[in-house]
Amino acid sequence: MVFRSRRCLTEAYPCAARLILVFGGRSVDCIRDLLVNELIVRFALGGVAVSLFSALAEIFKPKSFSGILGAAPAVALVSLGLTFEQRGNSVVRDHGLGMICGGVGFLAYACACVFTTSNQRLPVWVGAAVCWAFWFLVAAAAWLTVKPS
Amino acid sequence: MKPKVDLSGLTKPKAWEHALRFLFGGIVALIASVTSKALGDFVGGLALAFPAILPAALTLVKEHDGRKQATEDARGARYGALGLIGFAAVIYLCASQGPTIALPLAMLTWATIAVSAWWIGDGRQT
Repeated sequence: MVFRSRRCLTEAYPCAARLILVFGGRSVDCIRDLLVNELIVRFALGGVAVSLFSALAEIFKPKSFSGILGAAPAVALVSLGLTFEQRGNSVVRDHGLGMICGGVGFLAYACACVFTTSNQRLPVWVGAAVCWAFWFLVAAAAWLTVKPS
Repeated sequence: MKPKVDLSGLTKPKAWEHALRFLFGGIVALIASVTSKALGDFVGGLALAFPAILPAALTLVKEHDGRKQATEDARGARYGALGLIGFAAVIYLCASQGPTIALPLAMLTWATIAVSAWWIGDGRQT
């Protein structure tokens, strides 16, 4: 699908309007190429980072110790590294504030997972998926508390 | 209780399980990037701490080692989450210093908090 005009692109992808502002006067095709290339790089590096941390988790015992790596900031490390390079320190600072809220939600999520995973009647993946609600609730509450005006 | 290294654990997961983890990691990175651009950098940071990989990890541990070990894995993730909050706080406070200082310092903070919390919570028990 080739976009012939900015209007066409922004109607299809509303978030592209913001990107067009970011990239200034470059052509639509150029913007699309940059977008696709960036997403491919982020996908590949995010996948590699998670695979490496998961492999590391496999070699440690006991499980309560290797479980630490289940909450490793693998994707964050890659994403923040790229964001430092592309968008500067102040954007990373905003990401950090958001991550504090998300991290509090993650803690609530992991605590809830201990209960659902130990429940014999509940399939592990169902319990873990249901616990996402805890992450959303706690992260949203933290976000509402500290969000920048 | 001391943590032990057992390299034979690397041969336990099947190829499709490695592929699944790669896929999940890639998808989370994409979601964080698109969220950041569409909804703002603060929300993008929230997405970076979304627990997308843990459900798959717990399910795979349960398949390989049983439910008790999967519960132990979830217990460990609590300590990792504490470290994750420390990681984010360091990024927030030290972002102005640049990636060469902020990122290694944040990772060191994550590891220190997570391992210390594990030691206090589980490691001291025999």
